[in-house]
Amino acid sequence: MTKEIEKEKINGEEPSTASTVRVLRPAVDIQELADSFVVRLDIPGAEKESIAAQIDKSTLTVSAKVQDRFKRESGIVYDGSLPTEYRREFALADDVETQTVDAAYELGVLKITLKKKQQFLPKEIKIK
Amino acid sequence: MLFRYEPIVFDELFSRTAPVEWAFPDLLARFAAANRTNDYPSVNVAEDKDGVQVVAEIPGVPKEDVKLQLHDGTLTISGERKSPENADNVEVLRREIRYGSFSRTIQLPESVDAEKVTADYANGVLRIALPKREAAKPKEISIR
Repeated sequence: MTKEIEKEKINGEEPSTASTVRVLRPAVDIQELADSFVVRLDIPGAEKESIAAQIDKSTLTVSAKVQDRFKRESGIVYDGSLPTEYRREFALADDVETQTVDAAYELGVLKITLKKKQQFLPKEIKIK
Repeated sequence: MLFRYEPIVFDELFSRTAPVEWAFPDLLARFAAANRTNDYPSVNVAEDKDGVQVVAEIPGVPKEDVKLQLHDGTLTISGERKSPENADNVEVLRREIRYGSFSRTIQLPESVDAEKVTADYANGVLRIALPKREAAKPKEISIR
């Protein structure tokens, strides 16, 4: 199995959906390269510090909190201004190297690069 | 209603993970692109006594690739989200992010002062502040 499968639930629990926080699943692109996987998630409006990405055993969890879309001082009250939490979980396949993960946030897009384990890389065999 | 507010359908449409999406990511992306009329980018629009605030989510689009235009009482946000450079031999496992050009037009209240519109962009979110003309603001009248 070389493809990532997304888990809808973790331990049978849905992500918390308290009435004061809107929980969204960010759109994702996943690409497989020869030696790595590249995961891109749309998380507009987050600060780098508010994004958390972690790998627990074979689950990659990405979450981020985003503050109001509207500036409060303008006195605008509107339900689109609810704080938003982005959250998505991925089950990682056996070929993913979980020790060296690279993540970068730019222009509202979180890019995570997961290397493949050495033993799963294609090997060239010399012909004598 | 002074301005048109379209509900945000992007999340609904693309959070579904039907198996067909996994099997034919290219096909579905093309279908989605063909159907993309006026629902991208997602916007929030709010109005108060001082002005109108428009917040648009355009992740992955550098500032230089966005165009803002005020014309005839409308605000148009347009631009292009370019697909990231890809190396050879890339296998697409999942594609939910849409790339390509987009354009969205929002009707503004007449009272907006076109000369004083400001916009700033950070982390994929574009915020446009459209103050109202002084004459259009509510005025308090003191009673003698």
